[in-house]
Amino acid sequence: MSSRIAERVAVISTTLGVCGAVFLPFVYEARAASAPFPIARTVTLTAVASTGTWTEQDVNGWNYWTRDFPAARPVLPLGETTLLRLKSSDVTHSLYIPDLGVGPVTVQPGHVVEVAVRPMTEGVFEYYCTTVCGHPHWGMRGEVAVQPAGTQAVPVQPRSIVKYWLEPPPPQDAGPVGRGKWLFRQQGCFLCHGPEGQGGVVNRNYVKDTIPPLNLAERMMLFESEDVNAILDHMKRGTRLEALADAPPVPRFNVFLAQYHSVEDVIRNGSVAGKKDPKGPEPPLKMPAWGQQLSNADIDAIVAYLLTLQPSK
Amino acid sequence: MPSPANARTQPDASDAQAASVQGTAARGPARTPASGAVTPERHGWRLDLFQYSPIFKWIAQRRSFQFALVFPNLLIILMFLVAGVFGSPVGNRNILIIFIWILWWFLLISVMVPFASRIWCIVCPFPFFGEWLQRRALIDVRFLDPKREKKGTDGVVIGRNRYFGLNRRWPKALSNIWIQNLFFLALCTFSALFLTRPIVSVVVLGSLFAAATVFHVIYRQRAFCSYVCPVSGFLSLYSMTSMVEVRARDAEVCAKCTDKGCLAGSENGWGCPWFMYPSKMVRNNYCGLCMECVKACPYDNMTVNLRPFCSDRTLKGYDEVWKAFIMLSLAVTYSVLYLGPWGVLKDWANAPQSGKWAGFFAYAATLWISALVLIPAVYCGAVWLGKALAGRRDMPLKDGVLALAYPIVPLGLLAWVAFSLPLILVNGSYILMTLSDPFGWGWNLFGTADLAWTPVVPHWAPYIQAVFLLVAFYWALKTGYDQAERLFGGGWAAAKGFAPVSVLLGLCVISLLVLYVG
Repeated sequence: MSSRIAERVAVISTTLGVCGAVFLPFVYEARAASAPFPIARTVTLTAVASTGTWTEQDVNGWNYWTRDFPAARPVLPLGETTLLRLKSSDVTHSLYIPDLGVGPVTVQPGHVVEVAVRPMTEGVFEYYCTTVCGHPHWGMRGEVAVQPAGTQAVPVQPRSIVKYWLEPPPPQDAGPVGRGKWLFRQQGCFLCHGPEGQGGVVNRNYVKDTIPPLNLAERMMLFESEDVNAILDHMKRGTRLEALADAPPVPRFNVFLAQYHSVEDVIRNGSVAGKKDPKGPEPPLKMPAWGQQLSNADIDAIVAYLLTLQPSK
Repeated sequence: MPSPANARTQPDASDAQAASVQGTAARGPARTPASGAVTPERHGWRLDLFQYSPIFKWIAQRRSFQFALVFPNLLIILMFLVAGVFGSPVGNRNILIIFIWILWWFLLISVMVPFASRIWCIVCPFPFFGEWLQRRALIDVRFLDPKREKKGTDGVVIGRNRYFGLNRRWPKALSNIWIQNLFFLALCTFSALFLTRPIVSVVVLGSLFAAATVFHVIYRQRAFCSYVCPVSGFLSLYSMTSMVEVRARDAEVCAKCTDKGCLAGSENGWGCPWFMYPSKMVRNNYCGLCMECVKACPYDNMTVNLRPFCSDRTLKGYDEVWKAFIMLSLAVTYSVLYLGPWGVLKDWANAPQSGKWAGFFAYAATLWISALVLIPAVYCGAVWLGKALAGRRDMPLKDGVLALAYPIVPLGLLAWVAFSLPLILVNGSYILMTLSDPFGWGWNLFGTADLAWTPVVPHWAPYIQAVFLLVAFYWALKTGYDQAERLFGGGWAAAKGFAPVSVLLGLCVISLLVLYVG
């Protein structure tokens, strides 16, 4: 009789235990996620490094590997408190919404960071990730809309994810210009500097307001297209530019060389984005140091490509 | 009835023999030793743990013993699977990856196997549902009293126990561990994938649950565990080194026993689910430590002994020898892959992320050819040379290989320990983090979720690894020389016969030492 009771206890324990093991975590999570204070609404944003997006969708161990998560475009009620619950699904990220005074807030995987925000200005504001989180990082931006509570949110088509970091390299015979063109996209340079290096991307509280155009040829004193081609020919042949000092291929060669090294140095070591208003927020976009990621040949290739974009007239 | 005399000195070939006489369970592989093979010997002292600790004996004899161990483990593994699907996709933030591939693996290879044999098989949850279906009982024994019951009622009667399901016999041609060998090698080829992606680990572990259940429904008893489970394969090999064994206490009692409850079952216990004849068992390899024989023995003659390291020294077939080759090859490959400085190799192994599929196929081909062909061929060559040097060219190569492959068992086990050690030292702090936040959802159950990643004495790891390798080399030489003495006779002949193999073992140890410390 006692063995029958033990068997029944075992069967009941197994049934309850299996159900508990599967469902209890979700019950606990639902309780843990409840808001600690009265708020208008809660917006959960999860950072996904593999697609370079902050998303409002649920990210888990299954869909992370199979889905592309579109960038979130949360709508916040004007003048009311919204709780931003920020999560990271993979690596360390930072959320920065300079116009709303949010962040940069560092978000590590496994940690939920909660930020209360009360926007007082209506409009659409850009948000950024400011911690380099992988190749897709440079496109990890989106918009937050602030509008009066109760108004209908304008439906917005989610930005399509351009997987620039997966674009295949050019053939070997493409030369430095071809490789530089590919690197300019594959490394995500175009996201700040514009698809053709024309600049114009808004950078909040940056001293120049927008990212300036990459008119490198002019900056390097190559005012004639023949001069640009002469330099590119040497680069294509793999000639060290310093070795040309005795028989300069272009006028003002020493000035050109100094400017060339200066550009290389900016790419290699990065540069600070000066603030327009010293007391204002940090400009979200700044030139990172690429010295650890790009070889000297790659940096030369990017410069070669940029020379072709702005030929002198 | 076969004579149970000398039960402890007979190889477990007698299991199949006895089973056929009993006409009961399908007793699995008939593991007869090759002609002239080394006769198993009992090495060193024994301490009867049941006499030493009656409480331990009392616990082991409870019918609920195994259920009480498996049940919590089942719930834990199920929760891990939920974490794998719905938790963080990042390995170091998901309890599935950290607890299975870092903690469990380290404990299994470094603690459980050397000190407690196949204790994992007692608590393993994978066969839980299959065995439940097969027995229709979690705790009870379905005992058929031949004096009172007729056999033709419900289920299938095997021995004196009643089972459910199809209860087919496992094919004799597959009654070896070749499937386990290839399955394990195949799994390990994709290790970089399931070590980094929780969802892949879910697929692997979930498949083991499903396969174990299906096999239990189709085949008799623990056919899945004995012949298919990839973990069971290496547990069987390395349990030979273990310091614990289940054995008959007194061979005379077994000789006079007509009941054979350990084999056929009794009202207190199931007949051995592992197709063994426990009272004649002389090796740990295929004993799952389930303690059913302890419960079923009418004379209270089965016990658990403590014994010296490396007490079982008889490899009984090429399947077991090749398992030793595979395990050693994997220990070396993983050391190069995960502990070495070659990032390109990691990219090759992790092709789904890096996209370097050509590299992956090169890596996989190298691993398979090394494990199955190259290393065995070199080793067999060394054995052949040893035979020639010892003046025993007439001896079949198989006898030499079966005997002299044994040193790879302690060497492989301790090489795995040496490989696993830095993983736990460097990543151990993640255990505390994921304990508090198992799903990576931001919980902090025990206040340890915010701990910083803190490697523990990483600078000492190479030297600790070196100590393990040197201990491994000592045991390989010691056991290898013992085997050579028994194979070729003592003295100079044994030394010459073992010399080529010992050089190979030395080269292997030196290579790993250079990798770890150099």
